[in-house]
Amino acid sequence: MASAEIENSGKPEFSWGKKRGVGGKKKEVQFYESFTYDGVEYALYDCVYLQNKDREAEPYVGKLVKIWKNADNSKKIKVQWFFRPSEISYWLEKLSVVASENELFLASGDGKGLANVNPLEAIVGKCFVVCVSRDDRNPQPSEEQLRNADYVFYRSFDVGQCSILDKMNDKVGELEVRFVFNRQENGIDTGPILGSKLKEKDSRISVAYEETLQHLGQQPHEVLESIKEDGNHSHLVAKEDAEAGYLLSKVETSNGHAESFLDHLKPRVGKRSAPLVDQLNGEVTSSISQKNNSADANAATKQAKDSVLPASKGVAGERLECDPPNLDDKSSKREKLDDPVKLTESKEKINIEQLTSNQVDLKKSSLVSVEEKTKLGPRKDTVGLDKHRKLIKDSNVLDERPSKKLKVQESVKLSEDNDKNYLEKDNSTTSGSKAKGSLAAGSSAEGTGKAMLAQSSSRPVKDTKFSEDSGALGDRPSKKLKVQESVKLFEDKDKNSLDRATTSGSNAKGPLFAGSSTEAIGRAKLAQNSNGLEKDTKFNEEPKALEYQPLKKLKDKESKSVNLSEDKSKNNLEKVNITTSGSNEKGFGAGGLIEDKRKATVAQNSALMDDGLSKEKPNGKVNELNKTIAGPEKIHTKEEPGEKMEKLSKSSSKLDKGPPAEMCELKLSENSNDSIGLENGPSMVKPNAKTNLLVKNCFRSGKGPSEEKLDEKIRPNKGSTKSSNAFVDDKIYGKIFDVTQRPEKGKWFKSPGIFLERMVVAHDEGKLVLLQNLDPSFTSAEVEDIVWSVFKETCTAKVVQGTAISSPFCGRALVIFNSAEVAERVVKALIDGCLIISNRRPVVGCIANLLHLRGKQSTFHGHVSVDEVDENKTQTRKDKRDAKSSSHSSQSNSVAYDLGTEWCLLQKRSNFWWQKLHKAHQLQYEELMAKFKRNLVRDA
Amino acid sequence: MAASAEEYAAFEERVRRTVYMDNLSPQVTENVLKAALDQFVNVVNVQFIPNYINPSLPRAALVEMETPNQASAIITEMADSPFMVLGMPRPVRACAAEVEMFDSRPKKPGRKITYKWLDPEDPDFEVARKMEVLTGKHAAETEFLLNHQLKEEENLANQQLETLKAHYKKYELIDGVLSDNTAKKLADRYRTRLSDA
Repeated sequence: MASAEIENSGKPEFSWGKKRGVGGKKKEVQFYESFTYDGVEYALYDCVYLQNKDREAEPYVGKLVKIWKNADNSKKIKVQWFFRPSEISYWLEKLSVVASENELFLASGDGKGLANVNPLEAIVGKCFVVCVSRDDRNPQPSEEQLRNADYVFYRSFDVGQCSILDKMNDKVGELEVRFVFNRQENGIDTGPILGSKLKEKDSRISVAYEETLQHLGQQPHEVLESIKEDGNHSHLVAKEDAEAGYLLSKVETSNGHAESFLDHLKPRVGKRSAPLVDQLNGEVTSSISQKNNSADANAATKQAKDSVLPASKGVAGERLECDPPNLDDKSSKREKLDDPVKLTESKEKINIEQLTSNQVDLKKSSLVSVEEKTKLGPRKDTVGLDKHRKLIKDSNVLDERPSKKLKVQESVKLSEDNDKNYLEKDNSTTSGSKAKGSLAAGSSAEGTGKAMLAQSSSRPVKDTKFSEDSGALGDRPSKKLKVQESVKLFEDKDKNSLDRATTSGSNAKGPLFAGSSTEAIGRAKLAQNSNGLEKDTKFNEEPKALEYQPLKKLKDKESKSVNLSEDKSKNNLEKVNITTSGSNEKGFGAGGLIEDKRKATVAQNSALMDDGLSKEKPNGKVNELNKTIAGPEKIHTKEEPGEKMEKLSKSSSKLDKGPPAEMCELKLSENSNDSIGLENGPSMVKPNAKTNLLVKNCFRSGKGPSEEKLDEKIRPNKGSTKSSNAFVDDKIYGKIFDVTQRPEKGKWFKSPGIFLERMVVAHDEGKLVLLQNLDPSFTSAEVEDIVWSVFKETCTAKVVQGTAISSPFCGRALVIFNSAEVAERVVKALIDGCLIISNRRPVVGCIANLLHLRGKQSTFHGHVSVDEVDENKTQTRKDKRDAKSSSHSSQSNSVAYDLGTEWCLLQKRSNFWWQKLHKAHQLQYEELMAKFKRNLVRDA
Repeated sequence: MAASAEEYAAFEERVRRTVYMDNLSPQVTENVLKAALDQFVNVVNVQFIPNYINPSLPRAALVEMETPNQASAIITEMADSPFMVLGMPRPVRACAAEVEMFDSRPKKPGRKITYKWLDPEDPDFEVARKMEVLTGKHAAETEFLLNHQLKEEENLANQQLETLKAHYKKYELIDGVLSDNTAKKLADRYRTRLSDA
């Protein structure tokens, strides 16, 4: 078919591009760098579609590694192949590697199937393959590139060993690795894009973050510098803390004092957040008062003896200190809420959440953590941005995640340990700086010191951590599997850490234990953050893990807090929990998104867990988390976030029911929802895309291809009630979307001639769908576009051609989908919902059931076998091929004329009744249309 | 997109010089149709319309002429007298082609397709639901009418076959009577001359 078409259209135009060199014995072979074929320019190392022998099958995809012209003028290309997952499904199965649908595997190694020489004419089109490897040699693709990509790849398939390689060696097959990755100019392109994005966000965020943002805008290395600066900041903060503690001792809990204290802080902190602080003073004070109260409560619960008051003061001071940064955070959050939601922001929020959760856990020791948090604040922002950036870049690279996440958690713990060690070492310095207030302050100083340490020493720590991480990995899986257990383990660990902390801090007394443990947690978080920063800059892989970790930890902490309350059954603790949840809620109030994200990440985590570990347990985790989350919800449902939280609870319930995969979807979709809601509509598509990336990531990490598609649909905020039907979930009701053209693949693939055969096959496989009520003037391509836009499915569509008896109002099309599941899903979506295209009738779809397809062709009536009737006409049989003898206008004096007239009569009658039928149908439709035309018109 | 507008204009011109023909026998091929119409016009192209949904229907084809005038001439010619191709007596029917009949047609330029999912709470949703039901009903009605038409055709064909057979028998009888001298004998008997009869 394709070749036939090529012939039909004449020879495609062709011209050589840049010459490269000559080869061969007699220098008769001319190599080229590029050429233009059929109007498309191809260059070396481009990816192309190549004609498949089986023309109906999907075309091969390969990378041009050599282009040359032989002495006989034949044009040759050498291509290194990409494998579709379907092509190496045997090995994938064997190696239990999960590949997403649009993922390719680059051939590598040595052996048959690595590369082939082909005639240049075998090229059918250009293929956009994007390398999403997180390898730092790989210029990361931009979001847009990812969206436009036909395929992505980051792994290779060794044709010799028949194994999947996750990393690219210096040479992949015969190809230097730099040609494997995205082109450099792409990288340059993406750089500014990312930068500009960051800047956009920056401008939206607040002046407070300008510094860090600028740092972010620059290269990762510079981020390190910024981290250092942060470290300095933290030092400053520490001093401030001390002062604050002093002031607080005077001020105690009065808000006015707190305000004054804030004012006092403003000059310093205010440089970053002054305007915000002004605006938010009220809130700050309120939060301060709350905190103070909680601090008091904490103090009471702790029953701290000598140092309680100073501790509380120190705590308050710390809190105050924390507040400005928190304010910054909150303000930024609010700003963010106003602005379109961005991932970075949400991440920041996550950080904030962490902070809040820390507060929750720490209630007693929260002061310390708060300090840490405050100090980390700027960092977190930067971290968030970094993460965001990396998310974008690495969005596709999740495969390696599970293990990494595992590592990350471990690393976190390790980092905790390390931090503690460092703390112990550096206690002198930290305590020296802070230790004015009291022992409590000292403990807080510990925290800060730890934070500082983490910041300053995080680099050296890293290495050690990494190594430790790798070593510690063995333990983790079990923890993840059993969250509860892990929680307990955490506790144990915390206690251990507490022990250490107590030893080092020397402040923590019996009652404080829990608090100190939370402290440890806070430290852990800090360590995470700091680690995250460093890792972000240095290790691409880590940032993701970091993102997830904080969430997990938060959850863990929540669950911990719950456990603590239960286990220890201390009323105080319970109260603490409540208050903590309150603080959480505040955090949420600013960014309910955080929770979502948390969940999303949880879901991701669980999904990841699914991959490697047992599948059922993640549910357990999630449930637990949900419970813990649900608890606070019930307590505080007044604030805005309440809604979201409710949703969360819903989702949690869904999670309970659904299989893990669905959980992922749901949560992710919730994310997208939130982002949509925040964005207020107009630019809906963009956030989707981002979330999609995320979603894709998580799916890629473990899920089948079919689920990937679901992600791309956005679910409405309110309308989503069914969790089982992804399409329904993802519909946005009432909103009008444009049908966009489906990304064109090689144009020669549209081979219409064999549609009938394909249709029969598809019909037998249940992939054939009959769409009715289309605009009859739609073309097949338009139907394909519609299906693409609405369902994000590729398909082959064929409009049923009109005939004299077909309805002039109701167009029909036969659509072949890729699989029966997809077809069923589309049909179900059409049955459950009402899809209106261009304000016409609702589209009706059903799995085509064409019984007659295999049945015999029914006989054609009306052509009497003439030889039986009239011997004169037997000759027509002989020359049936000679049409003239048998084709004629009948003369009016023949029998045939009479009979023919009867037929004409019948035809006229048939015409009449068809017209009648169509008219009646149209009338009936119009009757109905009249009922809702108003609305349609209004919407239009 | 300007190119596509031109393309579409060219396509519309092609539609105008194309004739839709149906009631074609399944044995009719492109060559047969070309040859049959050759006596009137020059056929540029013949495209059969595949009937995916109901192949039991008689075939239909799009016959492209050289000019729109030729196309309209053919349509009137075939309306005037029953035109039979490759078999009798069922004539071929011709009418002007319409855009929707073409398989490979360019997209209508400038058209923007939009879609939306109706909100289940929207009152229109119910209406749309009804329309969907209606669509099913109409499809059934269409199917029924189609079967009815096929039946009618079969009836007519059978009836005509009967008639023809009766005619045939009559002729056979006459022929037999003439050939086996029965006629002559009868003529003698009635004293008439055979040539007068």
